[in-house]
Amino acid sequence: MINQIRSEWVKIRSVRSTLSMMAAAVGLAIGVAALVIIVANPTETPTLGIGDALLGVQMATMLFCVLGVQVIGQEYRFNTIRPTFSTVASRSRVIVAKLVTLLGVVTAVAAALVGLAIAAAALIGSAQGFEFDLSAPSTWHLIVGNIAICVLSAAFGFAIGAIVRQPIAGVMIALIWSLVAENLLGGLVPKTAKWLPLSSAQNLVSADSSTNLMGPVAGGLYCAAIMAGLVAFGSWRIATTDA
Amino acid sequence: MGDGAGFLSHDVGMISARSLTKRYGSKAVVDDLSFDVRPGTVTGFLGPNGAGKSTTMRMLVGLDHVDGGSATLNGRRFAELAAPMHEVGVLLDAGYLHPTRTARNHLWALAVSNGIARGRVDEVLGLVGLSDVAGRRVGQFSLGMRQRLGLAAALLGDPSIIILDEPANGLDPEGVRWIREFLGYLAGQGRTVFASSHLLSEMALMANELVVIGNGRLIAQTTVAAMIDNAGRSAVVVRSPRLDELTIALASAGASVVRDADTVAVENWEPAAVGRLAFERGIEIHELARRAPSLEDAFLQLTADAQEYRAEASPLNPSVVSPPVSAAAAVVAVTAAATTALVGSPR
Repeated sequence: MINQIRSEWVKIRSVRSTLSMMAAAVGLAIGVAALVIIVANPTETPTLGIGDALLGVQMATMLFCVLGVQVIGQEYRFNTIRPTFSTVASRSRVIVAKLVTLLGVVTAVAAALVGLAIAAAALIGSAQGFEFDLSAPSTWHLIVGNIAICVLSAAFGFAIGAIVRQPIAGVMIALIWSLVAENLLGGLVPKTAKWLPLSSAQNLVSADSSTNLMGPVAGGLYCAAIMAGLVAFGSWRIATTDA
Repeated sequence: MGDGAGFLSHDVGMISARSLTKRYGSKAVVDDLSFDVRPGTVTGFLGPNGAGKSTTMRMLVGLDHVDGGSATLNGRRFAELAAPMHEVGVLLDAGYLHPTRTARNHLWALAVSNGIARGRVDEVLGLVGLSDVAGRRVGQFSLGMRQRLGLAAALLGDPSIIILDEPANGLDPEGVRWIREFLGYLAGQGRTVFASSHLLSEMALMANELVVIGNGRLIAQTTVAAMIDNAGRSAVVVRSPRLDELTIALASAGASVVRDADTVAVENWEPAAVGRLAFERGIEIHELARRAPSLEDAFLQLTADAQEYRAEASPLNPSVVSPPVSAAAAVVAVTAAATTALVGSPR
């Protein structure tokens, strides 16, 4: 398995799209943090919270979702899945290696983004006359929650990619579901929001936990369980279909 | 090469298909196909378009699921191979590449999955002549360069079995010669080389043995020489300014001759005998050449019933439009005509 993970690591770091997406995620995390501070008024809100700094990281979750789709979808788009499966006999081993590598990369990058966004907010904030409060009880909740939501989002993209095995369709489905379908369903029938795959985990990135949703830990675990189910379904599709 | 430890020595290097079957819906694209490919030879895999060659190759390496029968490499199913690249190298399509990945990274990603050392990547790049472009993105590669890269990937694990689908596709004449010699070299090392190609003239030079399929079924498994021998008799083609006289002379000497506008073909005679006869009769000849049946003739003859797509008439060959006349009938007709001319001749 270690060899497969090393192989997936070579693949993920050796294509331009991954590097572009990572650069875009860094830009988004720092840029949005800077923007929030620049448009805020220090006389009205003299103290900034960590949630303000991490707004860009939450936006970058969409990029991680796209990366998740790409990791599997690009293999099918360029037919590189055939050399992959003709050099490793166990398809499930390939899928697990891809997922482990993706989630490892996303965890590391998301942690770096959180650090960069907080540092940027602190630097720019102090120059603008803001106080930056890192002692709030929700600080660690938001730091871990933001990293976790990035990882869950990447897993969601990966699952969709594995199910449809087509990057453009996969990205469309993943984004429409995340940005439109869940909001629409949750808005029209508020009771369902708690059970929707991605909405269920929203309290991971909210300092004031919404009472309509599950708590951060329960919501995160529920979301992770759904993602695991979707990945398992995608893996079954890949294993039982001709490559 | 993989040592094949843990299974019977007679299986090493063997590719075996037994009653291999693949269906798409109700149509069997590979139907009860059985064959063996031995080590130390280049075995050509021939068949008309849609015969099931690529599907068979994909089933051999586990890409397509088998609906019936079995396929083994070194005596084991592909799914049972722990590190497949050490036992079987595969090139199914040179286009299976990510365009923004470099050649070296493409090979390195494959190599590391099978525990192959990084040094081997540069070694195989050198072997196929791509060392200078190892750091270039493969999207900038020509088809010939991609073929070479695909072959490099197949050789990464130093496997005993090499499976190639149309390896000469897209190569220039120098590249085609290179791959022919390279595959011969690999077979000479005792490896099993199983390659499909639609370039029959190339296959005649490249392969020692052949597996021929049509409509997903085995038509023949034989050597190239035996297949050509079975295709028909060889002939001596003669060109002469006194072709009528020569035709009559040959027919009177008992030869089966086929006459066309510029030449006469003499079946089952040696060139020396034809030349001697012409000399004895004082007939000047301008060309005297042996014409052996080609692999193409043999292939078309064998797969005549298995051609899925076929033109009804060729604009370059109007005779195809005419009612078909068998070669044997034509020989008889010309021989009879020549004999009549001889007997009835005023000379």
